[in-house]
Amino acid sequence: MSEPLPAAASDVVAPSWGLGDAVAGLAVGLVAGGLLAAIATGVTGKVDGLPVTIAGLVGLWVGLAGVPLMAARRKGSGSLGEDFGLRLVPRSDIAIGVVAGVVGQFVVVRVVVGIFQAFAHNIDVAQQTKNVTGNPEGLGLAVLAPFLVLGAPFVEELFFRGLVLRSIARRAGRVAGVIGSSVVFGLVHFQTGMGAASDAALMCAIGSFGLLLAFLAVRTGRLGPGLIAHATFNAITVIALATSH
Amino acid sequence: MDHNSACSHPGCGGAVATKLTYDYAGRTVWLVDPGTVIEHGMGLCQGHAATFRPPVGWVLEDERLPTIPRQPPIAV
Repeated sequence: MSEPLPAAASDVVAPSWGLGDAVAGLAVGLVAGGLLAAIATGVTGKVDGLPVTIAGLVGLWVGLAGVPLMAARRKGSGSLGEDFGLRLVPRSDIAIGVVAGVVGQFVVVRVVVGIFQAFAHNIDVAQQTKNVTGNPEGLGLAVLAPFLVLGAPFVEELFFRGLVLRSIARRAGRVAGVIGSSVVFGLVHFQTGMGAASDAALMCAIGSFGLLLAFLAVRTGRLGPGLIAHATFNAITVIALATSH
Repeated sequence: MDHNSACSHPGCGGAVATKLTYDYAGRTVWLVDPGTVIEHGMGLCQGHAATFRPPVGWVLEDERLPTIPRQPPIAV
């Protein structure tokens, strides 16, 4: 992390977005996600399943993507690239991102879960994918895949490594931004139902993957590598789901 | 109740990851691996097995073999 974040429009007029916008984005996303999921539940008569999963995601993204968009327009340069580093350098970012995604899925997550397994009996986070995706197959998985491989990486990188990381970094420095955004990333993905120790292990594993994504964002000054890493991470899960049925 | 296929917790129906059997006279509950044949008892999914607590005054004997579960990919 020796290189600074690249100069943005802040060199001309400092953007005035910050932690308040991050909190607002999270609040709007959680409320909208809950609301749309509830509506989908009412319409379908089921508390889970693909419509509810997608409705919840779309609602969440209203906040996580909508607030950075509004923040950039009203309080920043008007450009997501300038304000939050939403840029992709294909030649290097794809290579870095694919490697980071594979490392995240097969090394970072497994090492963190393995550490928990060394201290607690029967740590198992296998249920997570089913909880997040509804465990679809066939057409359902084909419909959900773009949300996981394209939508989630774009929206979450823009929010967590764009708005949240940079908001914290502007106040408390890059290290605080990396750690803070990763903690928030882990907390937002917290879920219950696998047992307290497994729930905690999963949250720490996702937070650790967030650390890797945040490091990439700070090190390169753009979201491209993390975006590809996030997409690769979820693509591995989609492939695993497709081949497990 | 078929304790081999579905979790016995009301409203759950998850895959059985652990079996539970007990000795009423001895006030003892055993948690055993899902492949273990038991005469009476119930099946529990991973989550409900992890949060299971025996009744007050009963002893819990966890006889499951330590396992490192297969770690499927997760989604974020």
